[in-house]
Amino acid sequence: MKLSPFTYCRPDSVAEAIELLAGDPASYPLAGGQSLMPAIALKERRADLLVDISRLDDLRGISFSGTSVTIGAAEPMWDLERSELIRTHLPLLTRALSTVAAAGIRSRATLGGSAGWADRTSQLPATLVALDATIVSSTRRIKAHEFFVGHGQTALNHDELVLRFEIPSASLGHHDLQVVRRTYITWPVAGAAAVGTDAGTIRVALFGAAPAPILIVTSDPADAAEQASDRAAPFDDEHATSTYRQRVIPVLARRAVANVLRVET
Amino acid sequence: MTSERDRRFVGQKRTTFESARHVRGRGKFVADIQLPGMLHVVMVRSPHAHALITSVDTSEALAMPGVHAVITGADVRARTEPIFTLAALHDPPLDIPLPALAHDKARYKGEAVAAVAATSRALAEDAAERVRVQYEPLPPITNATQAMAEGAPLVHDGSPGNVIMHRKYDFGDVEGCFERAETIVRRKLSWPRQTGAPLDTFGCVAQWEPGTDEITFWSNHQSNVLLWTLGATLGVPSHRVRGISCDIGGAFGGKFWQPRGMVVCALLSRDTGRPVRFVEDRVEHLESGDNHGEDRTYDAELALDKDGKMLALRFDIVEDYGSAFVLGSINNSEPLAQAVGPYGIEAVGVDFTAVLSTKPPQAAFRGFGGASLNFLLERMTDAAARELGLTAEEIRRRNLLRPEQFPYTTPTGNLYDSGDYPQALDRALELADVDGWRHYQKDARREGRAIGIGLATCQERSVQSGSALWLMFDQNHGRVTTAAETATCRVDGHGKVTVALHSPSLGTPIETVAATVVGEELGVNPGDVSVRHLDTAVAGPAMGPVASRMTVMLSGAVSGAIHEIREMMRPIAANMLEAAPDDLVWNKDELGYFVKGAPDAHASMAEIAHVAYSSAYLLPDGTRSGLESTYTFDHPMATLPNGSDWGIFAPIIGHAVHIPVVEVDLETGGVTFLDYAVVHDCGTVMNPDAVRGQLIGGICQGIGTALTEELHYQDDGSVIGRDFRSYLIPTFLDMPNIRIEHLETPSPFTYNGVKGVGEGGRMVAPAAVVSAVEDALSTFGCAIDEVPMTPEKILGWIDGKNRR
Amino acid sequence: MKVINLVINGKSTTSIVGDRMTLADYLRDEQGLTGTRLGCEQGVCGACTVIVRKRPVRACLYLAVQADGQEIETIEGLAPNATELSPIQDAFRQGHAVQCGFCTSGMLLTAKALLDENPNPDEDTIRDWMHGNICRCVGYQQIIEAVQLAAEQNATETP
Repeated sequence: MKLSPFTYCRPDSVAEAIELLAGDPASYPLAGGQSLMPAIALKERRADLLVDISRLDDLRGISFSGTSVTIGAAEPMWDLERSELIRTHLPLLTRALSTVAAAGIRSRATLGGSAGWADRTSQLPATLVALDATIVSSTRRIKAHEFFVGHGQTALNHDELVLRFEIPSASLGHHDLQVVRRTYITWPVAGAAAVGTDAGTIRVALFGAAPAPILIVTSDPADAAEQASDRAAPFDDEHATSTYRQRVIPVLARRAVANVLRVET
Repeated sequence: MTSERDRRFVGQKRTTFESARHVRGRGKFVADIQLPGMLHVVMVRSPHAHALITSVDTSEALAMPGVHAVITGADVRARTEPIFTLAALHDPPLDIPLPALAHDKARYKGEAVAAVAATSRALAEDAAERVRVQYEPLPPITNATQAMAEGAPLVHDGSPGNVIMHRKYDFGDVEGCFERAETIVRRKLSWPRQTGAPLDTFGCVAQWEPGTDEITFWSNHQSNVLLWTLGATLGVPSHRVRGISCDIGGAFGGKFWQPRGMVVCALLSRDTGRPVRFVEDRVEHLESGDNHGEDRTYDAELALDKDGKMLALRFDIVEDYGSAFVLGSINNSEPLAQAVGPYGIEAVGVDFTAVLSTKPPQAAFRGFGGASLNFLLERMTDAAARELGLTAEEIRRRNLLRPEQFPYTTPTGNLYDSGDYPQALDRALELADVDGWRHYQKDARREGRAIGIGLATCQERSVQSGSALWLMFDQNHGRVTTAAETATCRVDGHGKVTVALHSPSLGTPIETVAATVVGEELGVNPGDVSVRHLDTAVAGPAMGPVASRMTVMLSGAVSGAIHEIREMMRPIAANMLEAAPDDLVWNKDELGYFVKGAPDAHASMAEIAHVAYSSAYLLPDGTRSGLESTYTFDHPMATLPNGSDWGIFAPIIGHAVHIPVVEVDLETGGVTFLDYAVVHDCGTVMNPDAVRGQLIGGICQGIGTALTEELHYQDDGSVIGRDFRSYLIPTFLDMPNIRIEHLETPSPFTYNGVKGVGEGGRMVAPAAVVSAVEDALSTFGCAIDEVPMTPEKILGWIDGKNRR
Repeated sequence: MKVINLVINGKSTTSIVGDRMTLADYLRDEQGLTGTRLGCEQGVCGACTVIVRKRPVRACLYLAVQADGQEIETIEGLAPNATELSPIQDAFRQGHAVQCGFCTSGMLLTAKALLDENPNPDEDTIRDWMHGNICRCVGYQQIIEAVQLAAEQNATETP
């Protein structure tokens, strides 16, 4: 199972990267490559050109502005997980990162890559939605809940790069993450990322519930379950059927909200 | 044989030889073989589960850079004789070919139809995509019901109705027992395809020597037996086919019969004049390899008397062999060695049907069907307990064979050598603290939590004889009965000992076992023994590490060889000491011969070896230079079928009691382990760490079997489970810690009483884990009759599906 | 084709590699460092793990060209010399954490990276850290015990 042929290049600037991507419809930005490489190896994706953006300074760094945390798109999850800034201000993100694949994947996988890949069962897109992240691309700012459009689909144009994430601080630590999986070897079946807001409500984002994350704002576990049940648009994949997802998604929404409330009280 | 008191090395902790190279990354696996000019093979595989092949155009691929040769199914058909499978052993032979490359039609998704040899695997993959194959799709057949349906398309024209075997056996008075029965329990059970999924996929390198027409294979084949048949397929005399084994990164039965890649590589090597390597990638291994395990349904009845004593078991079994009949019926005959489990069941009735389908050919997976037969027995036992209002342990107490009944002959004719099953059960209940867990379970239930305590008491038969190959055939001639193992031991001119094994290493530390036995029998430190592997051109009869046989068979062979060498040294020493040979005694502490009653008269092994290698003039008449013995150890107990039963074919019987404790999340169907206790009996423990490793590794696979692993066929004939994202192997976070205690009831038939252990964990764990989940869900009244227990199925049972 | 400079087990090397060649294939086929195993080539099994910048990395998902300029540590660089083993290697042997040996290289390197970051990990930490490495043979328990044994040996050797 070898990679089909492609050309690799490592541009020195975002502008150059975008120019390269724009010039070839079968081009991909390459950062950690932890989802892209298996897809090319399994012949699920064809790439003519891989544009390595992992060393672009504009896509690196973690900083705190006083109200929000800014994270470079190509910053490896490994560093995000170990960032005291993120642990302090976005503990839900730290927790979600720690459940993504395994240490040997997170060492190279990036938040930008996970967002761009937009897998419907991934916990990170949902976590970004729950945290009300803003995605700053090479051309615009997009709210996370508008960024994720479908399974493997984002609002991003082909010649547009995610540069960084700006995530409002949610430092109170009231959060929960529910993940159901078959084994730890593989992607989750479904889950819920929840975080309490200053307004006293809880933002719950569901993954594995629909082609894109579902955002529920509530303060009641039963209501979360009901909304989850109504709004789920579940699907079959190799790990579970839509019937199963329809059944557990409300449970996970309820548990997540109840756990946030339990921390708060 | 040494008595327990005198043992020096058997039973002691010993760091394995094999690990010395593996911790440095210096194991030599087949993918590590690099030969000058070597080409890499990639198969062109059918995207359809069932399709006529109407044309194959290789021209574009042949023109690609780096490509040296492309062959098709038609080439293979024209240039080789059929590959040997059990279909040929059947009497009369079954017309079910196993083509190395399909030529007329593809019979499963992923079947190879052509093969490309190029200078790198990547270039070969590029070219394989340019081989243009035209298909005419046919309807796939993905289960036995479809296979046997009226008007179903035929997988092979020579097998009408897709049914290739139907047999009925009554061992003992089955009818009579059912007439006497007070209670009859009935269950239908199913067990889907799974596979061993070793991290090291199957691979081989073939090198054809143009001048001599000899062919050499390097491979990770777990048995050399196949090599004996490949010559006939390739048109090469058997003594010009040479197999060199590599380190094997796990096999689990799936590398027992892998002829197809070897035939393809041999032809491509002949065509190109270069060595040629094929190594399956992960998808090829899972989706289209020759490694899938049993795939069956049972419709079973258990007859019990008024006291809950089991009288007879009868079951219909329908087995899906896939697209060919390679090893299939071993998976049905072998388990009947322990058809009654550890229980005193008087009679067994079997109605067996085997069908073909459009899945890869069934091979073997750790236990040759034994895991699913144990599952059947334990499900029936638990069902009976429920029906009779007995606890799981009580029904077993009433039925377990007692120590004084050994050696015990089962209704199928197999012999159980030794055991103490009631003691194993009692110790396991205590080790697991079942009473404590029952209290916990009760309290938890009040909080709405579902805790389950499982119990399985199962046999782990080991050391098969050759008869398992053909017991289900009506064959009357040419019976294969040999299942031997050979070892060559040599003391060199400096008195140093080398053992050459005639079989490969695959994770069971056979090199360490061999050295341990040398140490035990000779007195040398096992760490000072050198161990090698012979290639098949000079190897003796050796079936290899399959069927949990190596510890028993190899210790028989090595101890035999060492005893012969000791006897070779005796006359030499006698000559040196001017004593009568019969007056000499071997001293393991001093490593040499002493004259009885004269402790100063002593010839050391090094001194004897010096004479044996360097001073022929000192040799007594009738002896020759050198100290080497090749010893073949035959199966210690096998007998032939006798009309009413099948005779003895796997008599070295291990036993285990597994008690897992689980919690089921009633809202998500998730299963978490709280504990897992095991009392295990594999006779004398040769190497405690190695036995523990086999058990825990096997239990890990058994937990996968019970909960997550499945090759799940879709209606279009494609399979979920074709890569590691969907073939779900337990990980560090899925496995509980296993607590193990050993009970040792030595076998009377083996070296120091050892028994096999390799398949054991996986033969018991599925039954135990299913029992635990069923117990957790007992308030919902469901009966669990299938694996894997996916969260979705568990929610279904909670909803009332399969309520009893 | 690209020119890359790597430091492999402390030794600098310059090579010309194809764009699509993974680091794993490069190490195995170009450098003869076959201790880096390929078990799935899709980033799941962890057998190909090497250490880059103190991190365990899947060599099957990492292009050789991407690794340009990096220091790579493979299984062949783990032992201090031909006669001695590093503590983690020795613990794997003593604890019977090795059977068929195919996962062993990746397990050892992941365990080494863990112990370098956290010299005294508890069982849960070990399970969480290591779970991206699959063992299909010996099970995981002995590997956990071996990591703990190595941690103890490290503790006694470095007071």
